[in-house]
Amino acid sequence: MTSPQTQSPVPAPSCGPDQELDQMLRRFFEGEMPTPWPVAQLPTTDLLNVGRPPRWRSGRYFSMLALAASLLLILAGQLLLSRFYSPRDPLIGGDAPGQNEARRRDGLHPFPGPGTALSRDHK
Amino acid sequence: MKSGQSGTKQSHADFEALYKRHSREVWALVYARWLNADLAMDIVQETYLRFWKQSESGEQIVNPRAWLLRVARNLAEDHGKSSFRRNGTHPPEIMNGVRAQVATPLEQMEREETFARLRGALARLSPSDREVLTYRYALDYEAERIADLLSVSITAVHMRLSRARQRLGEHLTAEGVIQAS
Repeated sequence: MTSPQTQSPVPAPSCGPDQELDQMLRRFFEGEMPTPWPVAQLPTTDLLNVGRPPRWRSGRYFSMLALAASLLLILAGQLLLSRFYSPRDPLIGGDAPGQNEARRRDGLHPFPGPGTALSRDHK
Repeated sequence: MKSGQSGTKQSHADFEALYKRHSREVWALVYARWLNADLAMDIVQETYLRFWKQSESGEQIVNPRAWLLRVARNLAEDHGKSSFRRNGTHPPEIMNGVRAQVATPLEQMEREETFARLRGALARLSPSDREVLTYRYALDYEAERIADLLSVSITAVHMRLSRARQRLGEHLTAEGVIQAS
């Protein structure tokens, strides 16, 4: 390691308390500087990878996974509901126009479920 | 493969050269901020590790010295923020005892007491005062070099040094460490 530079062009006080302070500061900083100066520890590839979590363990990976799962859930729910309330369903919109009103007028339940007493009477 | 190995050797050599050339300056910068030699060395190592990572990622650093000093300064400030959260307004190591050197127990005690007071007086100075004193007395830098580091004129360095010494002297005189002139 290189040794500290040894020039002192800054005019230092020659005597008295100023010189005392100068010497005190030098001794103090000498004691504070690491001796010997540590050598450069060359980082290796392994060292650089230490602490870096694998891709699958990173927070970003999990958040992306959660987002994908949520989207899938939303799509599946939408498909299921749209199928359940499909316009071709005879219980909702599959009958001819005005048929529900005719049923109500006759005192029948407009949407008789299959196998119920109402639906059996109607048949 | 051979060229890759020689390239790695070259980058290692460059890294070592940079460490030799600037690590003391980086240390002095952080030390002047926190008056903690061990912390300063930790930040030196972290700074150089980041430099290495940056180089390995392929990003070119035009001015390594400025880059190193800037990163070290930021790391030192970050440490200040985190230590403030942990410990309040002053890091506890400020008034820690100083390292002992071989001396008689009495001399050692006197020296430790004097250095502890000096450390306390240094802690009361502004960071810029400590910075210029550290470059001058720890690294033994001449005024031209300090001026280059701090991007100020040589006259300004002389002035800052003189004022910093004066303020430090006042603190130490008030505590009876040195006699008034």
